[in-house]
Amino acid sequence: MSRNSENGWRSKELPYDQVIEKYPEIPPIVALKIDVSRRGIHYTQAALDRVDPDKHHVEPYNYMIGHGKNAAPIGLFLRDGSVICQGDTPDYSKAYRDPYTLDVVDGRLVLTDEEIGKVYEEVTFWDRPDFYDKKTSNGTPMCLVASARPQRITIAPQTKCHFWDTPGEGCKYCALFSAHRSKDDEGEIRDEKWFQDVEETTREALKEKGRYCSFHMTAGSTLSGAEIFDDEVDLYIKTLHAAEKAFKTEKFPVKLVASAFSKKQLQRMYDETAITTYTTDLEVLNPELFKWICPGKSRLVGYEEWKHRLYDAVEIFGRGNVDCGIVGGVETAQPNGFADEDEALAAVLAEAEEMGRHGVSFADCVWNALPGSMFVNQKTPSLEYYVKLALGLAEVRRKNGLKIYTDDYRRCGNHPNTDLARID
Amino acid sequence: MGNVKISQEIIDAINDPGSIKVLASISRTGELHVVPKGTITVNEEGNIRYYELLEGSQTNKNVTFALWFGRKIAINIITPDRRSYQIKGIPVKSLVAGKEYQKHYERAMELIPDSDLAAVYEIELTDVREESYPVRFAEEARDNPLYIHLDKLAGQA
Repeated sequence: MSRNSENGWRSKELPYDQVIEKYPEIPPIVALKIDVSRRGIHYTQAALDRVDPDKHHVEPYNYMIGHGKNAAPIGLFLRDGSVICQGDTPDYSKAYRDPYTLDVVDGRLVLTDEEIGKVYEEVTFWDRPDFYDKKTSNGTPMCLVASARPQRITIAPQTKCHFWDTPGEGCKYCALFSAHRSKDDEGEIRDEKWFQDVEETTREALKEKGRYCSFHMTAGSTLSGAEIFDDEVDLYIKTLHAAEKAFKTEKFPVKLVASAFSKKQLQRMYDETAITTYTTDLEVLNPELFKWICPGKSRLVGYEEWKHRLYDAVEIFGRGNVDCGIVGGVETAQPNGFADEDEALAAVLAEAEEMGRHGVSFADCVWNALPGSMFVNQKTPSLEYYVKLALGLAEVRRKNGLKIYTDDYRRCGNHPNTDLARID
Repeated sequence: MGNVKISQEIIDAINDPGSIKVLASISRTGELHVVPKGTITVNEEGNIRYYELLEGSQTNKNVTFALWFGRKIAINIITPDRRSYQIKGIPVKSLVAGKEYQKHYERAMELIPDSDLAAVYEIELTDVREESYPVRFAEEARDNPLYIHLDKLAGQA
């Protein structure tokens, strides 16, 4: 028996159909995206048979995580053009809930819930980026230099997060770059050849007309330098300078998701590079839980200082051009998180409101207890909680007159609360 | 969802670049919005296809709102010879990325070289009626014969 078939989770929370009935202001398709992100997706063989590696976006390994695995799709389109940034979950026996199923019904690729026996939405696979088949002049396959979502190109200049250097100090929910966590592993080497590869890959990607709306960079945190993160800033600047050679304008839509840089570091990035927006992730909007869940960030920067740096960023980039990423729902992780979902929501939204008044927007990722994370065995909150969180954060943004750009439904696609900005 | 089929005459009217096409939609707060949209055509399945060229436009927001909640939008077509057709429908699909979208992106640039296609919407039809005055006048006389000023009915002295 698997964990999810034993625990009776379905009888303990409102199912999707009842949630959309109870909250008529949530678009059903957005609620479905949230629920799929929360529970995951299992591909049937019929769905896998539909995958054409020459046509669809499959990755031979997960670019952002780095574990070797078979080539498989990394995301799906819904019919409103939004995306689900998840691939197949082959083994879900230890997950608290069983996943949605991607199946073929009446010739259509659809999301279903096998136990309920209901087809929810038709979906399509993402298309393969044209540059994936190319190599740089150094012979590097371009698919190892950059990844993509349907409308963004992603470069990860650093594949090691150095918060993991001190045992137990990595963020507990995080599976990103989890292939590079040992102290001796420095991640991928970024020499002069690599920067040349970045320029050539970016140039090649831009040949695909109508594909990309955003240039995205993210990486693990680098703590070294005269001031903490100085070396991380240097690496981003150097990487951006390489990519900038492929553009004719000084500024273009750049989404940087990075550590909480000081005002001096941010000013330098803004002045010296094409960067237009900045996201730094406080992850959990509660100082005590931040200390427990993100111990490295807490010890080396601190909750209040991280927040302060977001406010400094607003002075440089402008209101609405600075986003705070959060792992929505992780505030309920046990044993230290909120046991009551209503209390958790009230606390999170009160803090979001304060930050929104300072011009910070939010990018809410649905917390999924991922393999590779310390929280792999946690129980994530109910769908109802996630829906209320997305609606609440959308209201914070509206109330404070904030836009959302590079973390929106199109240039990112992984945040239910920013999907809602499509109709603001 | 709609499954109304339209005649070839109306398809030709919609696809005629000389026709004026106006799209009416409602925002999430209930505000009406009516604007010309020259990029409305009929696709191979007989549904309305419309290119939204401005990502931040109110129409783009409203049509997404209609798609999300199964609401109707309305379109009026006025042909060069002054025939008018009202079409209502529900947006069922929005393409904002992918190879199919990219074909439309290039097509949009052929039509308007500086354009930057935001979305391609597919709208299933729920209602179609001709709104040309002579046609509506005849319908009114047939359906509501009592709606008439009496002087029109006055006899000879």
